[in-house]
Amino acid sequence: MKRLEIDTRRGAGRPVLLVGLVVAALILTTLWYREGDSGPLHAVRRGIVTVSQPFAAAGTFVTIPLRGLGNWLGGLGTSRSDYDALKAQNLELKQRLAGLEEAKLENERIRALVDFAKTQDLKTVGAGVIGRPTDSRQRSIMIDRGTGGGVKLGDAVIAAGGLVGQVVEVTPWAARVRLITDSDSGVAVLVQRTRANGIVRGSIQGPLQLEFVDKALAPVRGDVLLTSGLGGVYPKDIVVGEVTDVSSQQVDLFPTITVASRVDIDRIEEVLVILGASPTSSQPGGGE
Amino acid sequence: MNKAFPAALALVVAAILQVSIAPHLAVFGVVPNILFLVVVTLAFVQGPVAGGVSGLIGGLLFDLIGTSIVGPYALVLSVVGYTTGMLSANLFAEGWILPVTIVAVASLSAELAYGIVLAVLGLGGTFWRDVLTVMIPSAVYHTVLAVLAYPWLARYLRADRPMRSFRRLA
Repeated sequence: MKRLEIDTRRGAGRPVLLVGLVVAALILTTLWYREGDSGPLHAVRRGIVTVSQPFAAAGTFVTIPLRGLGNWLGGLGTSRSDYDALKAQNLELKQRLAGLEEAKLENERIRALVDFAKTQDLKTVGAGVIGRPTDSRQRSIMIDRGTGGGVKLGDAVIAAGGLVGQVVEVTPWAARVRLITDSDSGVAVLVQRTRANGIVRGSIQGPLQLEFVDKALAPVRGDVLLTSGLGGVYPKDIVVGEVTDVSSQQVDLFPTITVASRVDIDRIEEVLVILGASPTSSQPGGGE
Repeated sequence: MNKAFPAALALVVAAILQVSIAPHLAVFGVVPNILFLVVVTLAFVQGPVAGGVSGLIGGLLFDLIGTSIVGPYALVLSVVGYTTGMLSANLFAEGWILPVTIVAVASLSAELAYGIVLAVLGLGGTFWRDVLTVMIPSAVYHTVLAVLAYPWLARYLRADRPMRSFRRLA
């Protein structure tokens, strides 16, 4: 009976409180829109980026075994007896090899990054990825370079395969990068072959979408997209991706074009921040 | 013991886990929302007032952790927390099925409401595609996580009324 009494009391709702909570949330949303980048909510978000940096880095480190387990599960095709026979023999070698292999892979990735930056003639600074997307809808990563490393709000971020995203929050030691796959992201591009202009947008579903391309200049599968430089956010001629599908109905004003990035964005570990890109708004959709 | 302290601590720990561990538990791009699980559990064990207030705070934390505008998820989670608290307080639950069902319904409702709010603000992707690729998978994922986490969370958050078994917690 006592439990029933407690539950009844707990069930007494307070509609006024609910209205108050809704109003408070609406005020926060309005404040966010109106205050600008130097407002208190933006400052709190920057503070949270600063505070969360060590936790994000720790999470990346702590989950190494988890990712290793995933890789191990992926390799279960090997027969158990073979594995046991080789295990003892190769244990020490594996340990040494793992270290060397990691160093080699890291070396290759960084070399590719540096080569890429050289070919683009860009002033860049390298950064490691320490945080992954914290939300199913938003696509952003955290990197271990901030204003102390010369990174500024609005700087473009690239990897060996091309464009990765744009810095939307920056602190002295870390920065948050909105990926081009984020649904709020927009990149002004041109089709390398036809020179048609368009906007590449991210989507929650994964593939990028190329929008606002003239039907007469529509690309075909395999066409490469480059940043157009329009809007001044991203430097010109950085690879954004390749066209993977084009479809168009007669009634459509623009064709539906699907694009794949050349960067494996979900697994990216190192990036280059292009220094000196024009500062821009960190508001959603504030790409180009 | 004051009920606010464990609730506040749970929200802070959830926020830390959201930035550190949750990103690495993503399945097909669906990242678990640990703050949501804590808010719903709080609503379930402490009622609509705690659910609503923790929803506003947890939603605000979630908004601040992300890169989009601040406020929409706070709005959604405060309403979902409050409603969950009302539901759970008025439905007598003796088992694990009801809490898990409520988590599933609350998750789907929160995702739908968040999608609608983002669409109204001109953000987010194509709504109906999001239903299939984000909302329903998220609801399923959160329900599975709730089965694992709810008994432990509820036991911690109901420290003022100790229970001997997980069955009694529900």
